[in-house]
Amino acid sequence: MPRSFRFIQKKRGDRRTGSHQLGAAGQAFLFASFLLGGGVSLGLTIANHTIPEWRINHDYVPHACRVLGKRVVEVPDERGGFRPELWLQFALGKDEYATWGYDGGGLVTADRERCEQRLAEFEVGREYACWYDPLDPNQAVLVRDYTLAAWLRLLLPIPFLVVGGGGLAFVVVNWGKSAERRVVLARRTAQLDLLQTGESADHAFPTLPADTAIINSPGTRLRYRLPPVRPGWRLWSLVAASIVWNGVLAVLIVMTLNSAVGGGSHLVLAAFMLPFLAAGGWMAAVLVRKMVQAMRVGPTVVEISTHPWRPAGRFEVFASQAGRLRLDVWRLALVCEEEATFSQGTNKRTESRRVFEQELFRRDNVDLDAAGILEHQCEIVTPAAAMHSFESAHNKIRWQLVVTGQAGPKTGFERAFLVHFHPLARVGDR
Amino acid sequence: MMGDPRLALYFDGNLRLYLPGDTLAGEYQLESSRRVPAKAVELAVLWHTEGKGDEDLGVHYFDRREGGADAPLDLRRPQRFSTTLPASPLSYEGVIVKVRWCARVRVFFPKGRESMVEEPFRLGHVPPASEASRGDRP
Repeated sequence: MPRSFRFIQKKRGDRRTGSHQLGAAGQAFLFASFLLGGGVSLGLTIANHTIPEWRINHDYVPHACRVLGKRVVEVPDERGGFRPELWLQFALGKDEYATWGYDGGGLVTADRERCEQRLAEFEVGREYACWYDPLDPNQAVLVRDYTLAAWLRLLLPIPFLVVGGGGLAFVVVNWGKSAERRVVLARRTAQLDLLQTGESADHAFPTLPADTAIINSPGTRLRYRLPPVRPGWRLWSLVAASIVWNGVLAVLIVMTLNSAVGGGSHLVLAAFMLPFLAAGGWMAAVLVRKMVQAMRVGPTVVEISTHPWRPAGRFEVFASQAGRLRLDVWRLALVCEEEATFSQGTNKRTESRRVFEQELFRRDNVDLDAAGILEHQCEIVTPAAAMHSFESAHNKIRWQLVVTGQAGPKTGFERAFLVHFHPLARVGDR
Repeated sequence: MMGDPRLALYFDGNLRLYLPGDTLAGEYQLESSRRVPAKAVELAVLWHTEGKGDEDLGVHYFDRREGGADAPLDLRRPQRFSTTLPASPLSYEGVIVKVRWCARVRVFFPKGRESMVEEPFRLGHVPPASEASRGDRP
């Protein structure tokens, strides 16, 4: 049964249960308003500033006039400034003209003294060159030039025109199109992009992530060396945060101490800074511990014999761990995690869940300092009914080889390496 | 309401489970006792995600037919369709991520009215997933 649009909508992230047409109409109205506002603003700027200045410099006729008076006029608009004006008198044939003018209104400044300095350049009673408007001789100027402001004003409406015009074009192009049709049109447009040089997924297996990072990384023991999932970003983020926080805190401490030495009393400020001092100290302690740990825990290397992996397949895995510490546990596991990204208000949040974990190897009480390096190679049989790797804009299913180590209750590390799990290519493939 | 057209979509053999490389075939029609002119009809075989993340959608097969001003579409006759299903993504019932396949038909009538019917199906034999606790052994 054909359905009419619904007024009441429910929204969670990008999911809507209301009327797409009503939403599109709202978008069209918004973008049209931007476009109209930008267009009106541009028109007014051209009419009130650009064209008059152009005419002054191109159309006005040169003549001679006598200055009979001076004044500084207060401009009653949002600029809140002053403008110099001179009382000009000149004759055109039998007609006499007298008018206030200077530069056609280009110079408006909040500095009254500047206006008076400009007026001081002209003597009352003397003759000067001027230019008058042939269409209306009552408009005349003594100074003419191009002002940067008159042309920069033309740039202000451009963002509104671009956003409004682009958005309106997007709404019009997609008007009345179903979600499926929009996806197909977007895909065709992407395929027409001849300059695209980024990674592209395997077309035989849509939604599988690109594997350039794996196939371009040869191993030394097995065929492929896997790149780590998060190469040290957490540690560098902690370094940056600690530097910024403690840097600002150090400046505040110095200022407080200087003031105290100078005889001021800042006990309240000093007391207020105590929790921030504690937080800065904790952050620095964590950073030092992490850096010491990073230096003691050496690089972890994981290599695989075959790429990609498939269900019920046999593959070789090699892992090595260097370092200068004694590990209570060193463990290699195959895990699968789901990752979902969703909008929460104006924020984007990402959550993950581990849905599969298989321990491949475990060693207890390993003294890396004495052993030098710990290595292990084993064969893995992948699950027969496992879900393949999956990647879309907001949802992922990722398979990883995870190396974890524990040295005491406070020293531990976990390093993950992505593997790509493909589905079987054909029915009956095993 | 009696007499309103009903859009129906059927798979051959009423199958609901398919494997990669299988042919998904079926037909759709507008079940009505009177002629209901349609401006256009779209058939899509697609996958979409559900769960905690924002919805993603991918179209595997898409067919759109439009009627002319003088010759609007008459969909009372069954319209056949057929496509070979891809190797991925397989249907998946996860904890926070789900991947679901369906065939969807939309009919566009004059004056902006629209009808839609959707029939889900499963691609592949991936069992439902559950959250793994650390240290689980197979």
